[in-house]
Formats: sequence, structure tokens, C-alpha cells
Amino acid sequence: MFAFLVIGCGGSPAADPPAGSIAELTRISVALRGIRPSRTELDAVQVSPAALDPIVDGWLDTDAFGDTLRDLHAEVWRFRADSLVPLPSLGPLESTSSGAITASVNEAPLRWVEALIRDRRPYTEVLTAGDTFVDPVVAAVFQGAAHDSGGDAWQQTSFTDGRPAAGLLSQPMFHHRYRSDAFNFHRQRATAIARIFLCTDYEVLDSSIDGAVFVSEPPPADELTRPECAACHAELEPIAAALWGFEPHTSQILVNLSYDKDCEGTNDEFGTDVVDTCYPLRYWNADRSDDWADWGLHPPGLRDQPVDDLAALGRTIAADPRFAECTTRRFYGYFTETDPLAVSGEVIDPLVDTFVGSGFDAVTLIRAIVTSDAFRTGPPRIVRPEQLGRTIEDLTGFRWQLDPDPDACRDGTQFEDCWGTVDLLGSSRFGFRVLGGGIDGTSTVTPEHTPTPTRAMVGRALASRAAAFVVAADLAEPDPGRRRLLRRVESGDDGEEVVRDQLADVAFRVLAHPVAPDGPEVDALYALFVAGRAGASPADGWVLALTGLLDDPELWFW
Amino acid sequence: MHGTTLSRRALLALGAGGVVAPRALAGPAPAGDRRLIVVFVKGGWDTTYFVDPKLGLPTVDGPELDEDPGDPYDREWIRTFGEIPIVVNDVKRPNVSRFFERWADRCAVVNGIATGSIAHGAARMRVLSGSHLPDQPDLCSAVGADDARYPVGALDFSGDGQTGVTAPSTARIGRSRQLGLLAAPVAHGDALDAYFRSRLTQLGPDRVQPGADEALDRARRLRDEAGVALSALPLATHELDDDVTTAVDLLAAGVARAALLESSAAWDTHTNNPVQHNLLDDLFSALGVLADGLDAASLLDDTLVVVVSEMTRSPRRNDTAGKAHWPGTSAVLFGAGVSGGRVVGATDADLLAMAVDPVTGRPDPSGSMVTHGAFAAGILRHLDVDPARWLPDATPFSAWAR
Repeated sequence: MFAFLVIGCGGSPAADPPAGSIAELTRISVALRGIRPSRTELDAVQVSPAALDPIVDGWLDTDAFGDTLRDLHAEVWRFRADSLVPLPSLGPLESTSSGAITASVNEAPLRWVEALIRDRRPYTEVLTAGDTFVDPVVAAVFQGAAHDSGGDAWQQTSFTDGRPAAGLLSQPMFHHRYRSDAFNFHRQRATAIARIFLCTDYEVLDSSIDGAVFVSEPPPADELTRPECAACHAELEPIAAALWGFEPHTSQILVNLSYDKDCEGTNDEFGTDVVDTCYPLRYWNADRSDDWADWGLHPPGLRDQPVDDLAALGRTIAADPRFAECTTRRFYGYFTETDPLAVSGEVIDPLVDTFVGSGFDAVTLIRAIVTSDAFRTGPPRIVRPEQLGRTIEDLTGFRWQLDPDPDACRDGTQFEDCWGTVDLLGSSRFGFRVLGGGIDGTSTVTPEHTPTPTRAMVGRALASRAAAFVVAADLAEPDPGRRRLLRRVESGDDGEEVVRDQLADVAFRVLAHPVAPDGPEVDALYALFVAGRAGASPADGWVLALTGLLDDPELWFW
Repeated sequence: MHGTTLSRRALLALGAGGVVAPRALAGPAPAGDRRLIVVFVKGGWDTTYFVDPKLGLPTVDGPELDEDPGDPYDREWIRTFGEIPIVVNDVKRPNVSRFFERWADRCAVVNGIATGSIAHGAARMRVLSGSHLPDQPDLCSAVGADDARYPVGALDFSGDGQTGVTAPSTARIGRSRQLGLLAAPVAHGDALDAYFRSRLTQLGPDRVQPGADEALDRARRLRDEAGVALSALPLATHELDDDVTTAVDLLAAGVARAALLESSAAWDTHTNNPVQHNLLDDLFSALGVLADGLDAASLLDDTLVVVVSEMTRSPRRNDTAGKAHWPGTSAVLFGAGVSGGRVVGATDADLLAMAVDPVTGRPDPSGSMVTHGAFAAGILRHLDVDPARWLPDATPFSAWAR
């Protein structure tokens, strides 16, 4: 009730939203779903703060929450790397665009983990599960899992090639994303595993290698005893050894060469069968799972703890205390836009206990994070580009898309260069994900959680397009109940009172708190309406006003 | 105009598109007015194929292994440009020769930069920023930080730039140069800016992040002052050949003080190291275009260009004629304030960095290593950016500078 009394007459919420307030509700909504609360939800919490908890519980079982789960894992795992050279449109995929191939292979592991979490399976299965997710494209690209043409586009299924059940480590996309070329011996993959699941990023360690160690050519085993090497290799070598059996990266070039050979014979350079680098690509080869021994490498394990195989490695990592803490830190860091490794033990430890005590239920952990005092009272965060896109689409129905090269897709004859329609806020290759502060998963791997010039340009451009879209759509819709934002005016209305009333109503929807028709927010919006209206039509006034509102600082910061 | 530092008021008075015109006065720009272009060669170049000659050494598998005995012109030999010995091959890498023929007097080579890492990501961070920390701004971002003379301090063409706290003053071009799609002005921009600022005030400092106002201002300046140039960028994935021209155009138009470019060709030659011949030839073709472009725009005297890779390659080849990673690299610098025609720093017969005299850059066992931090700090100082702000533990290495 206190929150209602504070904001019932309009005005922006306080910096530290009280518990049970609509400001807290908005903060949680943006974090969990990337969109603002609905008017119904806002009204419910305004009436009774106790309504907040069941609303949040409901959100944790929505597709919008699933979108966030995929975004989170795309960022932590550094997937959705659409800037990489795409796999070619050849063989069974000759009529599939590069954009479709890229989208499917990138999303498969993200949909897999989304389902894992939403099915309330222990999060440890991210390292121990034996299932996967495929759509028709993924099943055509990678060996090991079939797609039922009579089922849904995206399907949960099991691997059929006997590969070890090791969750993400069994997914072909993990091995496609993290290369292991020539003499890398799976170390890049091991580096990724250590960073993702154990929160040890070997690429940023402050250690220096004396090049003389390479000149003296120690045998590989000595990498674990030489201090200058052991800093990284003590952990990386045993993990890497467990990954033998998964093939090195299959590049676009190799696939092209293989089809040039009609998928017959051998790749002389790599000594592999060409058929394995034609679709469906073979990434698992059980016959090679012990090849680490042939190279005199350290046997599989987690530091000093030996393991028999990759499945055992997955179980061992999942049982390591660092896994629970690292997962908690990664989730907390994502939802609070903070450095996960810099969060104090005082904040993290209780969350780790909650996570472990729940049986590693990620939903429980996430709920604990977003309902914590630290989350509620933390500093303002900046909306991610994916969240901004969903917010705008939810408010206006506008999705910012572009076909970067329509000619390439014409007649289906140039699918190599055909990307099709791209979601501009979800793409780093053609869109604005990186310019909007996000990552591309390969070069730009740290999001920018601060205002930037390009972030401002993205927001302005998106807002102007969305405003034009929704104004045109709403004013053309004769039934006000079917409109999205302009429910109280008609095309010719431009009297100040009716305009202010409508602006207040729209602002409540967009800003997620009551706004008085004579308050400062509407004063500023009305000034925009007048400026846009001048010498033009009321519709132009609405477009300008909504452009400002859809790019409001309250949408930037949450 | 480069003879003095213009106030922001004066710059704004120049109007759209005319922030800082090419210099017309005699004399180079002072250090604080110098621009920076970093060309990052991503993946690891083989320095023994050009700037760090090791021909004939039994410890190094150099480019001479690739000579075609049937072609008398396909020969590796050392040609000295000024005092810079360069490994050249008139058949395989003619553009390397062409470049140094034309620009050696403006170039310095720094050999033996010790990075201490053989991991791509770690070495890249160290070379580009001088530090192992992932949030350490790269050189271009640091040079452009807080610089209000330009719409943005730095432009990142590569995607590999690290901004850290300099994010409010840095702009990424995008993998397909999609920044151009955002550069068109939006109607009633001033009114929208005024609305945004009024809302910032209404919300107060506790509800917004610092830097929003600066971001808005820089966005407006990018649209107003560089919108034409940016909007002309074609939407397509871009390579270094395109970027060198675009970078010159944008720097000449006063869009930014620094630009980070990248060659993302297949430099990581774990197999088939002879690919380096073609890659280096293409690289120096692009560098030639860059130097020519800067010169034509009267910017070469005022722009420092740093060409560097995160690592060189191992001295010996493996069974697939490839080379592994090596914990060191070299750099080619040309332009503003470079002591041309010289080599500083050195490596030994195992391609390992040698200690050098920090003033002369000559090998000196009692000297110090040219670390990635020292190298980066020297560049910052050369552009009148306090290296202590960004690399407090590094002693600047500037033996390559006049």
C-alpha cells in the first residue's frame, strides 16, 4: 500500500523500489522476460503487493522466460556467433539459406538447455544429459540425431551414435563453435569448459610464458610439472583428453572441398573420410576417443581426479563445488549485469545454498536472484538489445527486420549468399546486437552495460520505426479495443485535453507506472506531439511523441 | 587546422561535416592532435617471412623452404630499406617490396615484442591493449577516450576492440558496416534530444546510468557530422582492403581520432605455413593503399599507423608444413613521429625476444624486454595520452619514435 500511495498520483518510481511495488515488478519483468508488465499485472500489484509473487511464478513458466534463458546461455556459452563463416548450402541443404542454417545450428543447444530448465530437470544435466534438440536443418547438418518429420519443428531427441552422455559437451554445436584444429588437441574446448562451468578463464590469467620452454622441447607431460605451463595446463590437459573422439572443427572450406569430391575418398590433408565432412557432418568418432594416448598426452580427468571418459568428466565437473558456485555467479551476473566473478561471497553463498538445496533447479535459483534485496535495490541496469527488441515488439507489434540481400535469395539459385530475413536486434552480422551493447560470441564477447553512442542510435532508429508502425496500425484499426497503444483517440483528434489523456494512458503502458495527464512526463510528450503536429497531421504528432516515449530513458534503464 | 587544438565551440561552429579539415599549414601536428590507426593482423603472422629475417638459420624454417628451384626469380633474399632489413621475394610477395620502397623512410620496425602468451585471445588482448585484462581498453579506445573534439574518440572496424570504461566514446562499425543504417537523421532530432534530456533530469541520477547524456550527444554528432559518410557505407561484410579506404575517409572527415582495423584472413597457419606468402602480399597491398590514402588526404604526417599481430609463429614447422604459436610478435609503424628507416628490438636465433636498450632499441643483455605493456605505453605516450592512466605498471618503450 505504501508503494501505491507514493506513486498512485503519477511520477516515476523511486530509485530503490520498495518490495512489492510495481517498480520492482517491472524490474523483474524486464529481467525475466525482456518486456514490461501488462496493465493487468501492474494494476494487480498496485492493489496488493502480495500479488507480485504469484505473478513472478507465472512468468517463470512462459515462452518469454524461455527467450531469456536462451539469451543467457548464448551470452555465457558464446553461441549465436553469426559472424562466423556459415556452413554452405550444399547437398541436402542446397535449398536452405545460409541464414537458416546458421540460425538453426546456433539455436539448437540453446533450445535444448531451455527445455532442460523449463522441465525442471537438475541443471547438472547440462553436463550429464544424453539428449539433444533438433529441427530438420540441424538433423541434416550433424550426424547423431534424427528428426521426426511428423512432429514439431524443434524436437527433443536422443543421440543415436553411442556418444557419451555429457550434456553440452555432447552437443555437436559445442564442437562446431569451439574449434580444435591440427595440434590444438581440444585445448580450446577445454578452455571453454573451464570458463563456462568452473569460472576459470585461462585467457585472462596474468601469467607469462618464457618462450625458452618451447625451444627445449619438453615432452607434453612436462606441461603439468613446469610451473610456467602448469598454471593453465594442469586443468586444461586432462579435460582436453576427455574430448578425444570429437572431431576437429569442420569448416565451410572443408565441406565445400568434400562436395567437390562428390563425398568420396579421403581428405588428404587431414586423413579423414570425405563422407564425414559432407552432410550430415560427423563430429563423434568413438574409435578416436583414446587417441590422446597416441600423442603421449595426459589422461582424462579433472585436475588430479582421473575419469574414464567424457561422460565421467561431465559427472565429475557437475559434482565439483565450483560448478554450483560458478553457475550461480553466471546467472547472477547476467541478471544483474555485473561481473559474475566480482560478486561478494556474502551475496553469492546463500544463492548457492538455495541452488544446491533445490536439487540444482535453475528456476529456483533464478527466482531467488530476481526476488532478492540485492537485485531489487541494485543500480540501474541498461536494457540488452534482445530485450529492447522484445519490449518494443510487445508494445507496438513492430519487429525490426531486414533482408540484407534479397537478390541472393531470388529463385533459390544463390543460397550460398542468401541470409533471408534477419532480426536486426538479434543479429551481429547484419544487425545491431553488438552496436546495441551485446556480443557476437567470437570477437566481442563482453557486453557493454553502459550507454554508448551506437546504443543511442539503435534506440532512436528503432523507436522511430516502431512509432510509425504502431501509429499507422492503430489509427487504421476501427475497433479501439484491438489497438495496441492509441485506444482513446481517432485520426483527427488533436485537442490538448484528449491528447494529454491519451499520452498518459500510453505512458502508463510503456513506462509501467501511472502517469498524470498534467504531470512532467506528459508535459514533455505533449511538447513532442505539438512539434510533430506542426504543419502536418495529428498522426505525425503521435509518431513523434511515441518515438520519444519508445526511446525514453525509462526503457533504456531498468 | 591541425596546428592548434580547436575548442569544442569552435569545432561545432564549423557545422555539419566540417569538423576538422585536413591540415593546410606546414609542420606536423603536436602529439595531442595525432591520430591513430591500428591494423590488427588476427591469427598470427610469420615475422620471419618479412620483418625479422632468419634466412639460412638451422633453427628456423623460413620462407626459403618454399622456393621453387625451377623459377630463378622465386628467391628469398634480404633487402635493406634504409636500415630496415626485410625478407623479400619478387615473385611471392612483391607488395612487401613495393611498400617499403615507397614508405621505408616513414617506417620503423619493432621486433621482439614479448607477449608471454600463445593463446589467441590472451595474446590479442595483450597486444591491442597492453594488458591481460579483458576490460582494458584497446589502444584506439584509450587514445579516443573522453576526446570531445570528435563525434567519437575511436571507430572499431574489427569487433575485437575492447572498450571497458571508454564505451561512451567508442563506436563499432559492425560486421557488415551496419552503422551506416543508423546514420540517417531522424526527423525532429533536436526535439527528441530535448525530450530525452528532460526525462534524464526528471528521473534523476539514481535512476539512470552516467554517460547517457554523452552517448546522446555523440550519437547526434555522428548523425550530423558523419551521417553522409557513414550512410554511404555499403551493407556487406567487409575486409581490410575496403576498410583502409573507409578509415581514411572517416578520419579525414573528422569522425574519430582513432580507428581499429583488422585483417581476419587465415593467418593461423597450423598447417601449410606457405600460405603466409599470399597473406603478407595482400596485407602490404592494403597497407600501401592506406599509406597512399593518408598521404593524399594530407594525414600521413599526423597519423600514426601501427600494424601488429598477436603473435608470430614457431621457428620450426610441423609435419603438415604448418607452424604453431610463438609468444612474441613484431610491429610495423609508420606515419606521425616515427623514426623512419630503422629497426628496434630484436629476437635471437630461436625467435625469442631479446633484452634491449630502452632508448636505442638495440640488443643489450643488461637492458629490458619490450613487453606488450611497454610497447602499448609507448604508443599512448606518442599520442600524448598519459600511459600511467591506462598502464600504470608499464614503462613506455619509444625507441622507434623521433
